Amino acid sequence: MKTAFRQVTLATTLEAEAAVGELLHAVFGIAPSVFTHPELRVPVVSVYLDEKKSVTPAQRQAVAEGMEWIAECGLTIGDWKLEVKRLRREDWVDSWKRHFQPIRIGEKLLVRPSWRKDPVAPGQAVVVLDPGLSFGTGQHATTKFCLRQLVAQRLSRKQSLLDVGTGSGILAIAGVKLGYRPVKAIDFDSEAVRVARANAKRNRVTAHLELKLGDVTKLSYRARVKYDVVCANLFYDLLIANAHQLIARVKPEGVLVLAGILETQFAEVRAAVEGQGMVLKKTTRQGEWQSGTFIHAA
Amino acid sequence: MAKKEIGLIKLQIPGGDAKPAPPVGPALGQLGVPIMPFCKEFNAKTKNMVGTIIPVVITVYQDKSFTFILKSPPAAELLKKAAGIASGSGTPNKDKVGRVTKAQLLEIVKTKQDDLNAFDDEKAIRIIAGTARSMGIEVLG
Repeated sequence: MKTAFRQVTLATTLEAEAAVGELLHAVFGIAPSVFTHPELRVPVVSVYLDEKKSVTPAQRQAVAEGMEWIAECGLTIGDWKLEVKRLRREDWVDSWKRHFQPIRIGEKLLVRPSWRKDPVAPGQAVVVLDPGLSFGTGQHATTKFCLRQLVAQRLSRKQSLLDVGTGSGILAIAGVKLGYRPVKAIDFDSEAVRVARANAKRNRVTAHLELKLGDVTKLSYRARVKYDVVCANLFYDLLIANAHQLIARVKPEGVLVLAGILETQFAEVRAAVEGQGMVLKKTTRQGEWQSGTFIHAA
Repeated sequence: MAKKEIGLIKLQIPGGDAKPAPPVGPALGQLGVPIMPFCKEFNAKTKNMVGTIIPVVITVYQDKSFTFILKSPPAAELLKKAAGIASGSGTPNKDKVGRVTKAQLLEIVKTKQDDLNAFDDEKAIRIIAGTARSMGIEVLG
């Protein structure tokens, strides 16, 4: 399905967005779409025309008159300009897949989407994960740090793992594949638990993975079960507010892996964790993110 | 995990019928959003709304993951319904094709309250009234 299109765009204001959308709908007979950059907050209203059709002078005139009229109706329209650009021929069914490349963590772990059949090194653990709703596929810097730590912390002896805020289940599934036993994962979002369970089933790790609905803010202060590795890829404020509950779940010789922290927030998280008897063992910056691995102070 | 938003995309898609064609394909494809998983999720959530145009707001994150929420019908659609017309005027500055009352306007404002780019009721009313007039719909009262 490789078809080229012309994208007709008009940038306007937030208050005129609906009126401009309706204008383009009326002029071109096609339902509009709107893209808004989260910081610029300038909605760009678009309609997509078949490549063979171009914008006629009459349509340009109708848009100009329509914009003038929208302004007369009391809506601020901003500095607008009708632009037309040709979109290259693309297979929309598959083209998005190029953004999701396999992730290799050394020779030990490979995370790949289902459509990739990359060669697997001997002894390499493979996690198959396709992108979907909000939950990570390992493309994010913070998830990559956690995956690296799961590989780095894995010893030849039996080790347990707790994944707090599992999302797609990527860390917990990778944990099972790397040999952690037992592995427990929680998320406060029932949709995330559903997706993680489906991913666990697809990766055939359900026998070794306990996936539950659970909220870090509701964890008890004292933990009956402690883990060799506790991983929490969350928001920095949640990490600070619940540092005690997370630390309580780390065995005396265990590690706490914390991610989801902006570089500017890291000192605050570090202070909260080190203030409760742990020390930073490793930290990595990638882009605007900084993650850390902590151990109990001697 | 705190993920960085790179864009908000608003689309109007028939319930249960998202396809990797325009506008879904190019609008999402340009930001690298996984189009087929979006279509699958959207169609699953709207399978009972076949035949209805559903506005959807998709939030796209830096790692190309996304979330979406379904919205109430577009303001223009609600105005057309209230005015009892199939489409707006082709020449709204000259030809008026319908009328809505102030009460109908307020009802639309109430329905669209959460979706409007307005911080107060007065601005919300001004936006809906302006949108109505821009379509050739007169506001009475």
